[in-house]
Order: sequence, then C-alpha cells, then structure tokens
Amino acid sequence: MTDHAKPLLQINNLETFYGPIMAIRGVSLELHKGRVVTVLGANGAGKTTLLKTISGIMDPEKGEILFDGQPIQGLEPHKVVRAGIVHVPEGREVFPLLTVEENLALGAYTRNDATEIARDRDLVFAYFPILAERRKQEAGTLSGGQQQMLAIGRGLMLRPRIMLLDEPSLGLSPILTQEIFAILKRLNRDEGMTMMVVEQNAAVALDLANDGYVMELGRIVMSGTAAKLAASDDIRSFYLGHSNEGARGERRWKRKKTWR
Amino acid sequence: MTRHAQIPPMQTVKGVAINATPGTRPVLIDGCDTIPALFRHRCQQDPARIAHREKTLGIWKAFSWGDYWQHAKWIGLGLKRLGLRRGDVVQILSEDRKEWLYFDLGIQCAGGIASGIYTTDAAAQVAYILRDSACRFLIVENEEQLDKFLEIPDGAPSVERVIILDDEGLHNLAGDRFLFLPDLYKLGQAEEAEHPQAFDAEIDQTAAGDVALLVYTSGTTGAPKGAMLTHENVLAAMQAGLRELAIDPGTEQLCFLPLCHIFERNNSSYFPLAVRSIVNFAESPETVFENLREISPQTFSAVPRVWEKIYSRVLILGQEATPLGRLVFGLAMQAGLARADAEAAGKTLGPMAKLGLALAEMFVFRNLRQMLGMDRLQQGISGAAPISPALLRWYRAIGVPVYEGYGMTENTATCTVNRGAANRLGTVGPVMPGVALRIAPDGEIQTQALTNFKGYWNLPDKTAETFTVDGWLRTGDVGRIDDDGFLTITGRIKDIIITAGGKNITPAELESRLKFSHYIADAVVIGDKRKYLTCLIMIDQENVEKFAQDAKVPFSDFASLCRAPQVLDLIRAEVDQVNAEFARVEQIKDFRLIDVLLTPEDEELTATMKLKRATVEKRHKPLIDAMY
Repeated sequence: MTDHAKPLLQINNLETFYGPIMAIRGVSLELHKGRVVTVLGANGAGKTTLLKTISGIMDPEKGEILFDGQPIQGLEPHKVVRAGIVHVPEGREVFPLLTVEENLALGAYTRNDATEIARDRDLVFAYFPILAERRKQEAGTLSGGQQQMLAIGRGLMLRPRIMLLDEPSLGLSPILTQEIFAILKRLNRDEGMTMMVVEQNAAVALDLANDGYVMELGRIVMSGTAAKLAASDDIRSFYLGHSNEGARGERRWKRKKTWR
Repeated sequence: MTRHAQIPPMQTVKGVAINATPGTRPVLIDGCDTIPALFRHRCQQDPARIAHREKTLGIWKAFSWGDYWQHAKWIGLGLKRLGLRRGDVVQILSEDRKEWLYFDLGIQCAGGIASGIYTTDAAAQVAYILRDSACRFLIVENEEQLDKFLEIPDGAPSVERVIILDDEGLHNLAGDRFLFLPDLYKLGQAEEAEHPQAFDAEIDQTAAGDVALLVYTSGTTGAPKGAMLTHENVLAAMQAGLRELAIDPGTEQLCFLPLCHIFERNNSSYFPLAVRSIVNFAESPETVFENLREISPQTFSAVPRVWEKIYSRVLILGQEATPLGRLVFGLAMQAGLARADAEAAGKTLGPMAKLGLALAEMFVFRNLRQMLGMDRLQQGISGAAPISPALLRWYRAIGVPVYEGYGMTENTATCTVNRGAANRLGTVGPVMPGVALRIAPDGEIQTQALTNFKGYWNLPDKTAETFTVDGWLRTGDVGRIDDDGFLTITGRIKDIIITAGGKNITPAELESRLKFSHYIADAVVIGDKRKYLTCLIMIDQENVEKFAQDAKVPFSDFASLCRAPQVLDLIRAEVDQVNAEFARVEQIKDFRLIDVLLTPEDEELTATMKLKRATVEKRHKPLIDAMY
C-alpha cells in the first residue's frame, strides 16, 4: 500500500447484523484506484456480507463506507450501482431465460447512450469470445464457466468504477478458474479496473491481487500486500494447503493460528 | 496410623480430622500423613461417590472415587512393571483431564514424583525439563504433544517410555518406546494379579518427608527450576485450605487452569482429597465460561485475567442492551457499589439503600449471577498476579465475593488470603493458619511454615539462596504488613530498577497499577541504568477493539490497531493517570505498544499470560532503544 492518495473506497468500522447475529464486527479497509484487493476467509467469515453491505443490499448498523469521499452506506442498491459500484454476486445469478445479449443489455440499464453501450458490448465480447459465439443462446443453457463470464460481462456493461466479485471461482474447474482470473488480470491491467475479490481459493486470488485482507468471524485478522500474505505461515498452511508433516511424516492436528 | 509416636491433638473441620494447632508435626488428615495414604483412605471410604465429571460428546459424565482408585492403581503398578523406581520423576504433558489426576496419584502411590509440563511449552522447553528431571517416563496427551516430543533434537535420551493418552491419528505409530494408555492399564492389571499387595505396600513405604511433586516454576526470569514439594508440604496446604476456603464435602468446582501450576493443582487434585469435593473438567480453555455456567460452582479460583474477562463480557453485553436495560443496570450498579463500599467500611446500609439493593438483587444481580454461573458461588479467589481493587469492588457490587490471596510454588501456594471476615481491598490479606510472616530489613517478605518447600531439584546453591540463615523462605517479593496483619505486595526484589540518577524503583508497583486499566493487559517498566523510566505495553485486544469500534477508529489487524493515534492517546491517558500517583522520578516518560498479539506459546509470555521481563527486554530491544 504505497499509494498515499485518497482511496477510492474506504470502509471504516463497519458492523452488519443478520437479525441478532453480528456478521461483521468492525471492519476497516481501503481500496485504491486501479488496484485489486482480495478478501480471504473461510465460510461464515463475513466476506459476502461485506460485499452486500457495500452494494447496499444490506444496511450496516454502524460504520461508514466512503466512495470517492462520499458516504454511501445505507443507500439503496440501485443508487450504489448508479454511483459506479457493480456487484457480481456469488453463484453467478444470470437471468436464465434471457439470451446472452439480453443479459448484457440489462447490465447497461442505467445508461442510454446506444453507441457507447454497443462499444462496451464489443469490449465484453473481445474479453469473452465465447459469449459472442453464443449471443443468441438462453443464459440458462450456458455452462457454469460461461455463466460466470456472462455475469462479469454484465457487470462490465455498467462501466463501473469498482467491481465487487463474490467468489468468481465457485463451482468452476481449476482450468476455468485460471482462465477467468487471467481475464480479470487483463481487465485490471488494460482497463485499469478497480476490483475487490472475495475468494476461498487463496492461491488464484493472491496471484491476482495487489493487497489482501484475511477475515475471520467478522473481523480482519491480517492485512498486507498479496506477497506478504502469500509468504505468511498461517496463510500457507490454512489457505494454500501447504503442510508441515512434522517429525512422524503425518500429522492431523492443526497448529494455532497467530496471523503473523 | 500408628507410625507416629506422638499424635498431636486433633480437631474436626468440615468432618475432617486435622491438627488442632496449625504448624504442628506430624501433619495428619484423617490420620494419614502422606498424599497416597489419604488417597487410599478416601477411595475406600465410599467408592461409589462422585469424584470427577468430564464432558463426553456434549454430556457431563460422572466418575467415582472407585474409578479414581482403580485407574491410579493400574497406572502405578503399570509404571512399576515398566521399571519405575522410587524417587523417579514422571512428567505429564497434557491439558487438564481426569487422567491427569489419575496419573498424579498413581505415580505418587508407586513412589514416583509427579510433575507437569505446560502444553504451551515449545519443544526446547520440554527438552530442558525432561533432561533436568532425568525423566524416564513421559505421559503425553495426544498427537500434538507427541510431535513436540519427537521434535526434540537429541531425542530426549533419558526418556525410556512415552505413554500416550489419546490414540487418535496415531494408529501407525510404531516403536518400543511408545505405549498407549490401555496398554499401561493392562500391565497394571497383570501386576495386580501377580502381586495383589504390591500397591498398598508402596503406599505404606512413602514417608511424609519424601518429595511428592516437582513443580517447575513458570518464572518471569531465567530457566525453569523444579521446586520439590513433600507430602507434608501438601498436607499442610490442604489443612490451611480446609480452614480458610469454601471447599466442603460435595462442593462443585471447575478445573481449567494448567494442573502443572501449584494453584490449580492444589485446588483440583489435593483439596478435593481433603474434603471430597467434585472436580469438573472444562472441555477446553476456550469453553471455560460456558462450562462455568453449566457447573455453577460454589468455589472458583482463577487468575486476574479470567476475572477481567468475565467483567469485560458483562460490560460489553451491558452496552449492547436496550436503553431501558442500560438504565436499569446503571441504577442497580449504583445500589450494588453502595453495598460494596458499606461492606468494605464495615457499615450497614440505610433503609433506602437497602430497598434499592433488594430491587437491584431481584431484577438484575440474581439474573446476572445466574448467567455467569456464579449464583451458587460462596467464594471466588484471585491469585498468581495482582488484581485491581476496582474490579474486586465491582464483583462485590454484583454480589460475587472475590478475595485476593498470595502464595508461590515455594510455599505450596499457601501464604495469605483475604476472607469474608477479614477483607481489605488492595492487600493480599492476613496469613493463613500455620504461616509465620516477617518483613526483612530490605523489605523482602519472608515466611516460615510447614508448607515451605524442600528445595530446588538438583540446585543446592539456589536452594540455599532461597532460605535465610535461620531457615525462613525468601519469597523474593517486597511488601509491607499493616497493623492488622494485612500484607501488601509492592514488587519483586530482583526487579528493582536503579535509574542512572540512582533512584530505586520497584517496577511491579507501576506495572500493576497500569494493569488495572481495562485497556492494558500487561506492562513491563524499563529503566535500569537509564536516565528515566519507560514502558512496553501489551494492550487488551478485546477492550481496545471495542473502544476503537465505538470511537470510530479504523483498524484492520492487530498491528494497525496498535498504530492508531487514538489508541495511543487512550493508552497515554491511562499512563498519565498512573503517573499522577507517583513522584516525578518514578513517572513513565514514554511507552510503546507491543504490536503482535502474543499467545502463551510465545516465549515472551508465561503460561498464565504474564510478560517475562527478561525475554521482553531482549526481544523488543529496538522498541526500547527508540525511547532513549
């Protein structure tokens, strides 16, 4: 985090509840323009809730979300979208009965500049050629990977300033995951797209991201550059699957996490 | 028992016959003069009676004195069959569980010396203790602890057999050196069949002056030393506990602090032998509060950290209550604090205050105590580190009597304790029966009692240093005794700092004042041969996070929390408040926060979460140097 300019997205002391349960217990993080931040964590750590709170689907109990210096916490989701934050949800959620083209057109529903929209659609097709091939096909008939591409493409149609991606690798084969993350990397490099990626697949996420945060039980327990996280013993053994076999060559117990 | 020519006059306390005059020899409990003899007596009295409870698959299961006897016997005889000789040290590396006590007694009955190793110790520390005690038999709890043993570079050559309690994940383990618990039981059964009288014979051979346990002192300085405690030491401690603590026959208690430490060992292994109270084992260190609520013990002995955590929980719950709830709680606390102050001053409350208190009791405190698992608590004890008087006052207010006591391994944790009839906040209380106390000219607290240990294992020089010429134990603590006999501890004699200006300062006095802040978990004051005093502070994560969250201070991980200017201001304000109570030369000029979250596995912390001065000074030298 060498960037000393004001962050594009700044979250301070966020708390969000699911009924009586505090899913996010005070989270603060920063996302700078043109950078990719990843949020890692196990199931139930609060990652999805964090994205939902940013995009306005859930309202925080406390804390603030500053987008370009303006508070957006508690805004209606469509207003957050208009402000320029698009949320690519977990599990893709494309409209199954609409065609690829129609799905993409819906992504641009806030805009009315037909020529620019057409240009963006071509851009999406350039990044995801398979979608161009299947432009007339119903989205429900696409494979999981293609649906994920469509969901990302639909998000791009908004010309967002920030993309929030919730587990883009969910349910995909390792090859497809690699492919999608390669495209995300190009989007960041070539289009300067700012992204926040929530992932359980720490290896691909840390490869893509500049910075990372680790969440546990609604709190951030570790933060730093992606390189620093990838080198940490705890991340290596709990997220990257490296194991220390110990003296007997087999070991089942888990050492305690210290997040250093 | 007829082995003593002269039986001193006896007295019955809580149905147990003990020496009428504390401090007289031989020390006898129900006619027994050693731990094994008393153990045998208790088990034979009523074998069906409940001794322990342990949770299995979510359900509390009871284990009787008969079980205790049977298993301890198999362990003792099994070890003998493996070659245990009288006076051998057997080390136990396990979390608290009933087998820990089975081994404790089994080893002692067979003439061995029982000793425990902290499960949080690293392989190097385990190796040191095994070597130092020439340990031939090691008990390990499970795979995790076994791996620690296997990591020891030289393979711990003194250890002949390793007995493993849990075989989970270890089915492929091979080697003559390893043995699972059921195998040991089988050896014990075979021995029992061949020599039915062997176990009793071993018990009868043990003398009161024999070493029963080695307790390695956690020590905030230097390498651990094994303190030798004799049967007589422990029996004398039991008698003092019997007289002064709220342990009665059938009392429920919770075992959760490390059993290698004398504090929990007395509470959960020996005091129950004296009165046959029931020991409930917490499932894990993380579930202590839930287990406490399930058990609702009559007596609860804990370190200040635990009392602080419970208090923080209530505070946080209170802040999350509805406005009406908060108002009611606030009013109740006012009434409660009035009670606490009246009790401390020895006055009675006026009629209005009494009414207020009755309402507070009815609507708030009764529920609160129930929620905490303290609704049956007759006596809470805080020991092993100084506790804030404000915290004790708060517990008084909610109707939970917590008393501060003082003791150390070297006097079997038996020295002074506050009690219902004689309680003074800020002191560690008057002496326990049978203990003589004096303050040496240099301010050191010295004691004379049958609970004073025999010496350090293999360290005659250190032992000699620990006793005065006239045989009193040098505690190493500095303190004063007031006119009514209440002892106040001011610091450690070795820790006295002499600043470059030549001023003598006891850092513990400053440190314990700092620790009384809810935001400061521990502190180390530095300044020996330096121009002025400074301090390294370990913040209390939970409370400081709560503060940051309420004050809208953004932070991500622990390090960023420690960097936040508002957090630094908060701690500075706490330091300033403490400074205000001290003379100028004794004030802390600067401080730094330790920005890594330390765990008991870290070398900087003792198992009871106290900072070790020497290690902290060494590890955080750059931070310290930055202040000068």
